[in-house]
Amino acid sequence: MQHSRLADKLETPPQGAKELDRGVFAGAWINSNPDTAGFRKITFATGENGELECRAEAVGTNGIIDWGAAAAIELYAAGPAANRAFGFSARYDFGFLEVQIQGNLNKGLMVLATFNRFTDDSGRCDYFLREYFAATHDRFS
Amino acid sequence: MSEKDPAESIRFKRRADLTAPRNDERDPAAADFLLGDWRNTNPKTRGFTRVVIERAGTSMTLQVFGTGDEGPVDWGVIDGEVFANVEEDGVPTSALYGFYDLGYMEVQMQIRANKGVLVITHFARFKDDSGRSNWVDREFFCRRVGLEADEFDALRDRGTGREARW
Repeated sequence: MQHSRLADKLETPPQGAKELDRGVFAGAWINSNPDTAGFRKITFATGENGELECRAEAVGTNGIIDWGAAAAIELYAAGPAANRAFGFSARYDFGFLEVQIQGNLNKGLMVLATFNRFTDDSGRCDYFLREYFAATHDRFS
Repeated sequence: MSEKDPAESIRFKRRADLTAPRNDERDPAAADFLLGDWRNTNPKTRGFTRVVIERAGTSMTLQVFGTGDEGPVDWGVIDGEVFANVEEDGVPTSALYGFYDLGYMEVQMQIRANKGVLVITHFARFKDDSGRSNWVDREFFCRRVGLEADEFDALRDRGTGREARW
């Protein structure tokens, strides 16, 4: 078992590949900033074939823009031996703009970062945006 | 389908796309605060011990060192992508994206700095059949201030490590 840092080294090899428990990656996560110019909401769901789906809704100039389903979704645990999802990554490609999404949990919040690469000739800088999201729930009513 | 801002005739998918700085207005030195030889603030880390970020023309290179059984493991030098960023306190800064493909594992690196601390969130995806879970972690680094690890440990044991480091 190869490793390039001790954190990737397991003393006992796992017994076969396993799928991560998706845990909190279900339902809607709402941006904590009501004045955001980024994403309003991120929604996770299970597709027809059991695959994880991720859908982003962004703030436009005249309302919400539905980005549709993200591609290349990967889940990440808190360690190589853990079995519960703790983070995710995904991608969107709109032709003129490529967006790499990275999300990880921190004390009940989802910290969502995007690397935004413009591939048009608009002259805009590629930019990084980091925001906080909270899961919608009916506790603490 | 993207939308177009009628005033500017530029496409966007969210409002933030319309306020992204222009390349010809951006100060090339805006990302210089990421440059340096950074050391993990956690002396017991099992992740990365050291990160070196250097200028390469208008871009940057990234070199990380992992903890090894017999010393640091050099992951090699890769190109880093620089992104314009605005930190939580509203100050315009930069962020860096790095991608390591080690064959058996790929690691996405999200690198930013705030108040003198380099923060790296890394997403590791295993491509082998080891059965390990893909995993994510976040680590903190400060610029080397002249102390080697054993020097820091000695000072820490005497109760003056924190002052001497910073």
